[in-house]
Amino acid sequence: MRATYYGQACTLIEAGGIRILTDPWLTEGAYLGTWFHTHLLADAGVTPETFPKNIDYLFLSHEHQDHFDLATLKHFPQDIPILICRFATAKFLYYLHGLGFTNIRELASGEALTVGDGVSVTIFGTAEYTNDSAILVEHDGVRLFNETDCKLPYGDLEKLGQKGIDIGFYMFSGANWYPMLYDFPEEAMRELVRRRRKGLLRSLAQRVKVTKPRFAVPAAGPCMVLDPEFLWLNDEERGIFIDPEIAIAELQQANLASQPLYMAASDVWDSATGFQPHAPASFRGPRQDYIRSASERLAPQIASRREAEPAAHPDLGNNLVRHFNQLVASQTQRVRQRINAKLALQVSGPRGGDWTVDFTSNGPEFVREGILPDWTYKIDVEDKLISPFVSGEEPFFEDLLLSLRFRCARRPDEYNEPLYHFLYEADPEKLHNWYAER
Amino acid sequence: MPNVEIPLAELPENTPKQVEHNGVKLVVIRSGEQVFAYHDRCPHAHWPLSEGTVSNSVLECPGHAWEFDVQTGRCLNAPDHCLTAVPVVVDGEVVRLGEAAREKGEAT
Repeated sequence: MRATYYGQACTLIEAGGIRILTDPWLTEGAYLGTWFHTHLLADAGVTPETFPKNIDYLFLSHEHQDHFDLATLKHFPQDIPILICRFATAKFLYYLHGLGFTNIRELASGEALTVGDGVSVTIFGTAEYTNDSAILVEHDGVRLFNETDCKLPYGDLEKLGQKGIDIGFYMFSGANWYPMLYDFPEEAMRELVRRRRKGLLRSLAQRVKVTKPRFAVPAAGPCMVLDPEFLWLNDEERGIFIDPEIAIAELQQANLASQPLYMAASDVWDSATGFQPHAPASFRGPRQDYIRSASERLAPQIASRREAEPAAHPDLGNNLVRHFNQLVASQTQRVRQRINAKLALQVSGPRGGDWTVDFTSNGPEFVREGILPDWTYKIDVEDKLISPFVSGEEPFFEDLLLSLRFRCARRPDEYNEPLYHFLYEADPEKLHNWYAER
Repeated sequence: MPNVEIPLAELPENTPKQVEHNGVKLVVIRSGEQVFAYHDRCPHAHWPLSEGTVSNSVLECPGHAWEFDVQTGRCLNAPDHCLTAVPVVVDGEVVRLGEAAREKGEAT
């Protein structure tokens, strides 16, 4: 078995004459132009145009753009076999159908599929409300596990460890907006960042310990933020995007039986011959230097992309009110009570305005003009950015949040998980069932 | 079903210990003179909390660093979640754990 790493959760796995490509994100600037790979793939000569297309199976773990990149996928034939996990809703499946892909195979969590002579693939679904999945590929006694950024139930990890893994690719970095985009005082923010990074690294070591791979590769997680305005998000003291070499050091310190293996984009692992470095030397240099250099090189491209962003829809206000009214009204009373939030949307720009989505209202209207004084969560965002997410053009609201191009605040300072779930996927049946069991 | 008894001396302070009771795995934590017991299963992704760490009356899950108030079982970073408590009586040098009912999806 041979695995070539292409950054984030993308691995090309070759075994028994079968080529499986996981989570291909081969462009730069995901999430409204914010996310770049840990190292620019183009620096390793990797682009969607030049990437080999003779792939037998695509595995797509979930819909996040750093795993599911439309600009990359359009380079593959529409009848390419695609493997996905069977999630609680068919939203992702239908979205893939809508893109024209015709050969999609859903597997239940834990279900194995023989994809070639002695080559088996098993997909595992997340323990969380979100849609996410991981993959195990087995051939000729060799087992490769790619966790992507999926948080699996402990029992699945334990079972994986009982059989042993030859090489595992593990999430190791934070990849969202907490705590950086909140209005915490600077010192409190730094402490939260420090604690979050510590927790993430400890979690990595624990997952490696339980799954017992021979080689543990820190993979999915961090991005580079190259917009000069947001470079601070890459700072170790102010951001949660962890340097892979720090993850390697953490695994070394944990003194596990597994060998930590730093694979940069384009590096190869072969079960017969071991690790083969292919990545440019710059990928192993000081990360902050690389980020500064990449930001300078890409600054003109980033600026022109920003300038080309379309303006907000002229009817943004009505779209927003209609969007949230419909979504909240379709929830059961039980779910609205669990959310129990007053979500303030402070939208700047020519089509901007202030609204509050009030989950405590008895309806039928749930969106009110203005910011209610007792708001519990506030999002401050540009009109052109939120516009496609309330007009139906963009189906995945979390893509807006992952763009990191907003600010937020919460009162009290507590994570409202039901509100997050609503914003992630407001399917009434899914939400109701999730909270009926909890 | 007889209650489980543990010598207090076998519970070092702030060191989570796994105890099995009626086929259910529990995590027992001594905090000063008090002892607390919960189902040994993080509500997030079901990691054993007995593998976690305790500091300043906060139990941190080893899996994804979710934090719980040792005294109440309340999750500090996602207050919508709470650990399932099991009654505890400290009788001199002996700790007695009350009955623990198996929860849905909980392995024996």
